[in-house]
Amino acid sequence: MLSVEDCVEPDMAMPGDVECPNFYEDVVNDPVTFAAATPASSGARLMSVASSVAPFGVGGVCSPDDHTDERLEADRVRALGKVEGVMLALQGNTFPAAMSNAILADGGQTELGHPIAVFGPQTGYTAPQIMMEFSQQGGGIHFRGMSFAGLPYVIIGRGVDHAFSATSSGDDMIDIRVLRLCEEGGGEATRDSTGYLYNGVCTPMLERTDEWTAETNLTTTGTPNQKVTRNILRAPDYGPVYATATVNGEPVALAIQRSSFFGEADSVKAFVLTSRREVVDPDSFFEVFNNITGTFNWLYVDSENIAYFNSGLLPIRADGIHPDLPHWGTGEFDWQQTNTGTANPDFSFDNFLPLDNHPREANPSSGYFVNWNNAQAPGFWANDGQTSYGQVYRSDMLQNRLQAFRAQDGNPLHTRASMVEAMIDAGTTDLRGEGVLPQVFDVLGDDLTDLSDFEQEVVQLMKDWVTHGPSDLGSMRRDRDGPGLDAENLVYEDHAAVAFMDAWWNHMIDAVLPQITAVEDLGAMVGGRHDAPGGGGSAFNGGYYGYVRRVLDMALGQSGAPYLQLKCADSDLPADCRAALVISLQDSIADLGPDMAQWDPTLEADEAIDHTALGLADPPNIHWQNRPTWQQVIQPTVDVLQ
Amino acid sequence: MTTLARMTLIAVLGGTLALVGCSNDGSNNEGSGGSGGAGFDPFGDYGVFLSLVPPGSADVNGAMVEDPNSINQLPMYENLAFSDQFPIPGELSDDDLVPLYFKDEAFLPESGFDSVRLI
Repeated sequence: MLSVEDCVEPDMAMPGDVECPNFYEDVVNDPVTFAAATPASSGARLMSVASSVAPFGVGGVCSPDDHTDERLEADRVRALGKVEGVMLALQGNTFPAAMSNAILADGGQTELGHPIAVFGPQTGYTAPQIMMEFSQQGGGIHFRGMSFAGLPYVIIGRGVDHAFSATSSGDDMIDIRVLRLCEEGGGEATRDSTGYLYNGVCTPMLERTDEWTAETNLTTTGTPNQKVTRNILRAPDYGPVYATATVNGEPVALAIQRSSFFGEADSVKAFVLTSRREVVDPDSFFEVFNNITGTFNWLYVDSENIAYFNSGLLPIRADGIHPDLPHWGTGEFDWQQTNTGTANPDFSFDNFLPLDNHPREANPSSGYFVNWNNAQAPGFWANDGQTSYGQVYRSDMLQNRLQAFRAQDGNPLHTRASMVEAMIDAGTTDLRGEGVLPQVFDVLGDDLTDLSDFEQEVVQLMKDWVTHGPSDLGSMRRDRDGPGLDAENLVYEDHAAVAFMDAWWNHMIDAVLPQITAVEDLGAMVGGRHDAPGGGGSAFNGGYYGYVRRVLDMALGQSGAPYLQLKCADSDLPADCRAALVISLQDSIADLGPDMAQWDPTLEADEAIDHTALGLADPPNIHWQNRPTWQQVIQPTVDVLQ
Repeated sequence: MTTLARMTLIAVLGGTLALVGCSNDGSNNEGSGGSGGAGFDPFGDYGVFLSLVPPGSADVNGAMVEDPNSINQLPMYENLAFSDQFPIPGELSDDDLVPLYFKDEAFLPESGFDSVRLI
């Protein structure tokens, strides 16, 4: 918990003033480092950094005349923009990648007879790029790839005869523990108590209070120095406490338990081993990447093999525990590793799900791997916040294009170029057009005579869009006739259809998912409606795509796994579903107006990719695309590492 | 941060430079680094390895002049999806990939070390 109050330097303080503390004063009863203790601590660390590096080096050396209010304000705004840029770049960019994609084909699918991989992380657009590309040669190490500045090893890249890449995964490594509060010296527990019952013993939580001064600088709006106080409570058996509550009137604390607490940096072992050429085939790839403590999907390619491994410290939960719900932190329902009875488990990997139970595969019978942050494996549990793994996912766009290429006349084999085309076509496709609209058209049916001429025209516009692209896979947001690097002068080839799709989506959800919009109104929905294309590039990674698709399939009588409660337009009657879709169509037309040429004229400019300037270079905007921001195209042809 | 990164990069390239001489005889002494102890030439041709990072690999330099490598990969990235110079969909060939849309991800720089700069 953080609190902030104005303060005064001690030598200036008057009675009653809050005195600014020295830069960092700790009051600690915890011998353990709190480095990874709380979500709040990272923000606090940022604050302390911001205050310690002031003033920013803007404007160079100024003469006294330069210190006008306007000048100071301009400097402040500029510095603020820079900090915001850093904050934006940091958001969601965890180690090593926020979103990412990968396609791999085995040798049987390629002209050369050797596997091809086109893959890379999607970590947003910054200038300079936060991913540093480098080559390490010497001391037995031969590796090239990317890392984040400051890390000594390549974390995604190529070795002598192979390569690997990663995407973020959605494993469930975090639980909420409910702690029964107690008073160590006896007495009645309250929500302020700092002991908790563990195996029947009242155990003290670790407490720590930090105080420091956030000095005024160019990014603060003329406020004085501030005293910042951070209080941390940590249950040694579980993790940091973030709230208190009562259960049946009894006081409890809620703690976050994450399997990788204090084990975050242990992942580096995997990169040491890859640099030392310990990865030579799929089996060694599995073993080395089982050292990664965080939840990632890893993809591997050499001249003969393609392989996939889902990494992370995956807890083995007690019998009867539902992994999505809070459960007691009393010692009775612990993960396996805390059954050792030690307060600070050593994170021996033996205590987590063993390698043999991790989702993984080498040389799949399909001949392909595709990954775009989708579910790890059929039936494998995802984390509590992940609600969009389902029938429609953005990885479909990659898979459909890889297979459509092979399905052409003569069954052509893949080349590096055909794989690159599959990637970039998927990277400029609207998932809703491909995964949902065909079923919308089916529900609407062939007989549209009850619609107005213009409504029929719009339906036809959307039907044309869905098939307007390579191999009749359309739904594209792109302009192949464009002038290249010139975001100001570009109009998508199917501009009107794209604009209509954007307008239609919310109306469609309102019309066909009233049961979900009711939950939205209560503020209780997990996950959003749509991951829209925009400046960050990555899009369609989570939304209601699968919900809409499934209720449409149910209305069509085509769903292999119908929902128990959710129905199109909350009705069992297909006619009601159709009527809801027609209403959503009409509402969208009402929004956009009768002239298609005027629909959303700033669409392309609004979703252009604008690099976040972390330095002084300011690259021109580029068009939206859904593509890795560091990307490899790999086809090893010789196996030299054994 | 970027200065540190660049210094690291230069240090790495410096190490590479020293190795060029070692590898010229085609042999190697790679027995101790891991399980891949069999003979191989670390700079041998064992396949196709390409990469791309937009907007580029550098920031501006100390004199606040834009580095030629700061945004030079951006057109390659953008033109794959959006340029009228791109071949008709379905007609992209492997030969088009470099240097139009990707760069060689070789262990050694293509043309010596003329881009290394002391800062």
